[in-house]
Amino acid sequence: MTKARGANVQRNQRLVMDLPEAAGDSLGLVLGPSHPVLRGSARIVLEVEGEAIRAVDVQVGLLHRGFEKEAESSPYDQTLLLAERLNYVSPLLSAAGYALAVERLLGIEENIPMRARRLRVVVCELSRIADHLTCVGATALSLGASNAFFLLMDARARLWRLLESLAGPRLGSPYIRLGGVNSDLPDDWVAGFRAFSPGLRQTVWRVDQLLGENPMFRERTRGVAILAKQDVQGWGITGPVARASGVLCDVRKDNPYFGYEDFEFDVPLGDVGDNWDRYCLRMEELRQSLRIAEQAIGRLATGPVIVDDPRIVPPAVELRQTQVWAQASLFLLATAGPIIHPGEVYSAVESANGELGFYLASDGSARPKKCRVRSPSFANAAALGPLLTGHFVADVIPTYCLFNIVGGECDR
Amino acid sequence: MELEVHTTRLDALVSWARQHSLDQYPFLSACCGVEFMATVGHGSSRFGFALPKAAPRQSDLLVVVGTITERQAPALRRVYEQMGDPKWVIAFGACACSGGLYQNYAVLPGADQVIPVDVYVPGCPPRPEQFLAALKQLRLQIENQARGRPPAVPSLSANTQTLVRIRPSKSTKPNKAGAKGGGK
Amino acid sequence: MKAALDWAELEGVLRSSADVLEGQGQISGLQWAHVHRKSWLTSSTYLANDGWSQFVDLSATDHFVEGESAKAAGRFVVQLIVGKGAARVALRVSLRLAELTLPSVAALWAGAAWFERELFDMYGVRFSSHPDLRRILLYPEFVGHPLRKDYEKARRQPLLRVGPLSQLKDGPK
Repeated sequence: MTKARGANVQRNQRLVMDLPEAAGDSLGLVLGPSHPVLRGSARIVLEVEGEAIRAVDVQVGLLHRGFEKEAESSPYDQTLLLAERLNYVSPLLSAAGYALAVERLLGIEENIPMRARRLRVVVCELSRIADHLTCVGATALSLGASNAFFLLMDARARLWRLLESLAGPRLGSPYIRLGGVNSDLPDDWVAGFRAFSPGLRQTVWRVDQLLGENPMFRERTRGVAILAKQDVQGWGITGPVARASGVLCDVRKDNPYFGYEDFEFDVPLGDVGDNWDRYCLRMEELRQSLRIAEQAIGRLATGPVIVDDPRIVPPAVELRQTQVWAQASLFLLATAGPIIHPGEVYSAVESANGELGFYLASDGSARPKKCRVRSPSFANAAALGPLLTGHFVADVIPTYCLFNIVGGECDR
Repeated sequence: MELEVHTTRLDALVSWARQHSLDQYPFLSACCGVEFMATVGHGSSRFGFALPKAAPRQSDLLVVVGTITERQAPALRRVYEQMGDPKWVIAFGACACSGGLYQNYAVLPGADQVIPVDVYVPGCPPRPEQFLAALKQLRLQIENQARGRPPAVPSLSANTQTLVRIRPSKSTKPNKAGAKGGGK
Repeated sequence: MKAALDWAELEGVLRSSADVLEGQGQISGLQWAHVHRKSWLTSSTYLANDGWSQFVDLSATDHFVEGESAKAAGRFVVQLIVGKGAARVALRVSLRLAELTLPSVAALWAGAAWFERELFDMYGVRFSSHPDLRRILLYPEFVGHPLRKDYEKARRQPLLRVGPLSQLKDGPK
């Protein structure tokens, strides 16, 4: 495991302010929901005394769109659309997580063709890269480093152009389907990817120079919002925030899926668990994700890209034209949706923010009895309030950005 | 020294100025926000579309981007009321137009339930180019307003003039079946 | 080798408080144990002490079916998922509408606090000794609990509603 950059360097710790008990002149301050950085997904109510925060109430739920209620009355394949819109910064990853849960419920995880699994790994890792680029970009912008922001957004735009040529629309892509992926690679896609990846590495290196070597950025992030290692698990924090505090947890290593066990990659770990570690860790994860994507491209198996299971995939056109059962399956799929035998599953993937879990319970009909999303952003956001108490008002936004609380995922 | 003189009507001049200097306030909320941010790369600033400010008092154009939940509706209304006249609203995305994919207890079925909308941009999410088309449509509307013609799309402002904020109920009577426990 | 729940030990813990394990099983992804409401805290404490320190999820399922009694026993099943390394274990408990309360486990896993608030918001489950039990995803003016099966999906409760014209005099609020 590689350690995050700067882990061994002596830090000058910013002390959390030890506030006196007296009430004094405290002021109530409300950040959001309409805020350039919070982007409508949270309202943070602060009680401040001067610049120091005495109390925080992080109010989430402003983007609660009733995912679980909608899922209970939607066919399993339509819920895929809603699942995509959970973490809308890396939609293909959320969709892949949901598709995996349904496949595990059906018991056909092993039947998914290898080529489909590799392609899913490629899009998942590229989505994770897009998410981290956005997260670090937003942090840079909030701290005033707009140059780094534009570099990262440019890289993200190029990445999305690449993904668009494969997956279609950026959001609302039909690429991830129950049972596999929608279509195979276009002919020139691999060449495009190989042309893109050195550029991304270069951008990451440049941004690391701009931010990582910048004394102002280091001052603003080192020693800020330290999340202690022993607190991480009790809060249910997973993903980059947990790893930045030194807790090793990664669903890709612990409970591999999509064939992640075939790839070599490191899981970086942080040291202190401050904003600096969270930043370094995301940059390192960018490099590791690119490494995984390159390996996956190099090891694409041949074969179909979607499983041959009439319960979730319409049979081929030739079959439908000659066999009645095939036409009937298509009819059922189009009208009722996939019908899944009674059962339950808890399936987790490593999303950009941590363990994205789906608990699905089916009762033998075309609608799930329960579709629960275990949201990593929601669990991470719970710790934000206690973490920020005692810090400065100016630390709120960078910490919020580095926690990457995505409204759609947090509030469902 | 030679002078170049142009004559025009005042309202045409004002409308020309307004069309080409729209200061936007993006009320970002959900997935469409990511698509909206991508419009930066499509050269919207050449249309006078300045860098987005997060200040309602300084903006003319409120762009409602993404799903508006019932919980956010008062905030959206407040932002709209804080903007000075003249102001216009673009509803970007299916959710802002009509609630989109989400027809349930939590989501406002369209931003026009609480604010008058001038241009609707459907799509889930719309392409960034659609936003530029919406800007063009809005400029046509501003032009029409200046010339005293009805706007291209009638705005639904008639029924949004009085909005009452619902207060928590203080009733101690038991609620209807299935709603035991109340909201507090 | 993934960690596993020690069933014998859990049964022993329950027996000491005059209770039994009501059910157990394995589904894809986790082992589950079903306990009675009165053993919720003892079983959770056992899990927390046994090293299941990773809090994962707290959710509920409403098994109400149209035509059956809304007050049936075992209508709501609350599920707590905790982890140890790569393993996941679920603790389940059945509740009925008349007794929709549970002791809070926020003292054992700090992350449970927000998830319990969400259960209160969506299902109406009340958690005793919870530090801050109020709605989290919906607004305080909302009446009812939407994830219950007898709450209509599209029953809206708008916060801003078109009021009578007489409101115009006072101006917007």
